[in-house]
Amino acid sequence: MSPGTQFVISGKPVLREALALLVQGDDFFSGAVNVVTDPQQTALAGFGAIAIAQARGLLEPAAIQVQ
Amino acid sequence: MNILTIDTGTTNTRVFAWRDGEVIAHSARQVGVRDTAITGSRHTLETGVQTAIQETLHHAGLGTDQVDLVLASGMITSNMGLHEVPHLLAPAGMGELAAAMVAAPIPAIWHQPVWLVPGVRNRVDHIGLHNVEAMDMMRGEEVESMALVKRLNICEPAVIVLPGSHSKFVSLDGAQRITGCVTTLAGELLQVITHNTILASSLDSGFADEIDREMLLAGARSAKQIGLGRACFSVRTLDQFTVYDRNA
Repeated sequence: MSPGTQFVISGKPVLREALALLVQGDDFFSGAVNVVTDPQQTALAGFGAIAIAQARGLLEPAAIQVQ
Repeated sequence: MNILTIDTGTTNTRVFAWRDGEVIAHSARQVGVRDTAITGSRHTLETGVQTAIQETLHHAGLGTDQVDLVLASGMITSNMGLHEVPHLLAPAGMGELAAAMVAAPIPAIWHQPVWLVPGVRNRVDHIGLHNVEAMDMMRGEEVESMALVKRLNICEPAVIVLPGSHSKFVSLDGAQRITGCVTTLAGELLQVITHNTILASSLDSGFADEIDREMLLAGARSAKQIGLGRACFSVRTLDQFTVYDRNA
């Protein structure tokens, strides 16, 4: 992990804000901090499982779209 | 194409029905592998997952014969779940996870094989006190990480932070493979400290409604310098002798 590694922070709004501030206030990390929005983390596990199943060839490409 | 996805954790199970990439119904039950650990039986978990599936199908207006694929991830693949699948060794990305999927018969919840996504563990051998800090594992966060890779188009090395009862920090390399993770008890500690310690009074048994940047960073600095236990007691001291409150 390098100082420029980007952070992607999910979770409840107040936790996302707190964690983002902690990373931004850290002396080691200087990379981008991306805070995930609520729509971006909707049904995350299912979306990921479908994406992996698609990579396995279990469903046609049209069954999943990037949101 | 109609798909059901099952996400079973330690205490909760969530089932979603999808059609053409969109959620059309969902249901959640407060049942997870903790029930298996407590009762010594899988019956509660099986019943809870099956009920969540039936509720989701009902909300979606689907019959069992209209579902083309059932996918499951999370603690359902653990030794306390419904079908154990060994962890995949990091590094593991979309391709490795896809190749390691297992179609398992779990007749207690579904009449056809359920496709299970394995968890991922750090690549550490001969684990002992000397290297336990390097070891860690996940079941469920790997699918969430791959979802964020796809939704956010992550294409550079990254750390994905997934706060929860057991907060995960998932490390990705430039090829979007999971190279490892670090887990903390942060969520559980926050819950216990807020509700079941002397600080419950100072905190009104709740988390801050808004973040005060100065106080947040001061707290983090304090915990780093003098330890979490002492830093926590400072909250009571500030409550007793200053004007600060839960929101600082």
